Amino acid sequence: MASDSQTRNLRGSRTRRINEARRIAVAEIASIFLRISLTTWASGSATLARLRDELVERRGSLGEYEFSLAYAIARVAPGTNVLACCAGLGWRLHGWPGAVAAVLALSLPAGLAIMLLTRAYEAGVLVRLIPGASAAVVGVILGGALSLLQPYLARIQWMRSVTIATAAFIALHWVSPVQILIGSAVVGYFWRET
Amino acid sequence: MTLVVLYLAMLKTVLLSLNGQSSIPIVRHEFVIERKLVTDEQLNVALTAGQTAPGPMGGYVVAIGYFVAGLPGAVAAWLALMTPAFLAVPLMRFAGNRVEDPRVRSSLGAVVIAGSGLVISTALPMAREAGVFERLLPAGIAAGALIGTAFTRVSTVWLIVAGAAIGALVR
Repeated sequence: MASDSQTRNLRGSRTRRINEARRIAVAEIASIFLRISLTTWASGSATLARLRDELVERRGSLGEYEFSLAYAIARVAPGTNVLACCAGLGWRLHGWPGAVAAVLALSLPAGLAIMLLTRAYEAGVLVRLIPGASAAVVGVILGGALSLLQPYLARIQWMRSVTIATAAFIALHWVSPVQILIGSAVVGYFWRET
Repeated sequence: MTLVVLYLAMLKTVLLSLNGQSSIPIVRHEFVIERKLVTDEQLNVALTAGQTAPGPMGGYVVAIGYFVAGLPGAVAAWLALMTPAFLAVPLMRFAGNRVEDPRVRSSLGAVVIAGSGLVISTALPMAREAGVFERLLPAGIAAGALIGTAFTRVSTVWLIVAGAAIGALVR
């Protein structure tokens, strides 16, 4: 049985981990997520690529693996991936207030824009714009996925990355996304990064 | 349908899906087939609005809520869209203490890589629908947007606006 001092040390270590992540004020978290929400349309992968760029590369507020953790959990948690990832990232940055600020900032502009666009599409105002926009959306989604892959392809582990990504791409024809993600987690556990 | 029932029905569909795209058949079954509150045409309008708006693709459920109960319905659907996201926090709390293990890190990296493979696989039917494989103009627009997103810092808003404008003008 753990002694009182061991329990206190364990709690202290967990608190320190959370405190280490409190590097950005709530208002700043809201500002970052709001800006990225307003400038990345139509693709969760593009949004996450921009968030990674901002929080990991530019600010250094989160480590690569903290981002990967939020991403991985969001992929297997129920609901909208990108919002779950934002909740996880916001929590790492400033606890529960950070999680709430991140999710609100990312989803509020989307909700308002969808309302306005729905009314416009209903009225037939934007019909001519749809074909070109749809093609661009496809490019944005693929570009976002490529951006998330880039850090892994740039390292020595490109062989591992290409193999896993290709396997996931092909396997989707036969098995569910959750099964693929769990399978890739198991493969990644044993086939380690160099 | 009361707003609470709408919220709970929408929450159920969001909880049963793993991402914005996979929620489409569940939403259709619940609101178009079972409850007959929304038509297929309205679902298509909602999906188009969701794809061309900022933020997550699953945001189209806000438009479904709007069709069911106007502005209050849209707010109820928006709340239902956000609610499951917070489940990620206890999961982060649980998993966060294990992230130092190199095997766990390697495992997380593999999930990110596989996730990208899945996104690419999911985007291909959309590309077919948009005529990217058949016509030069949509293919060029998609290629430009791909390069702009992956290799530049240009906002995706401008890429989509440019694509929409080129598509409308050349058509």
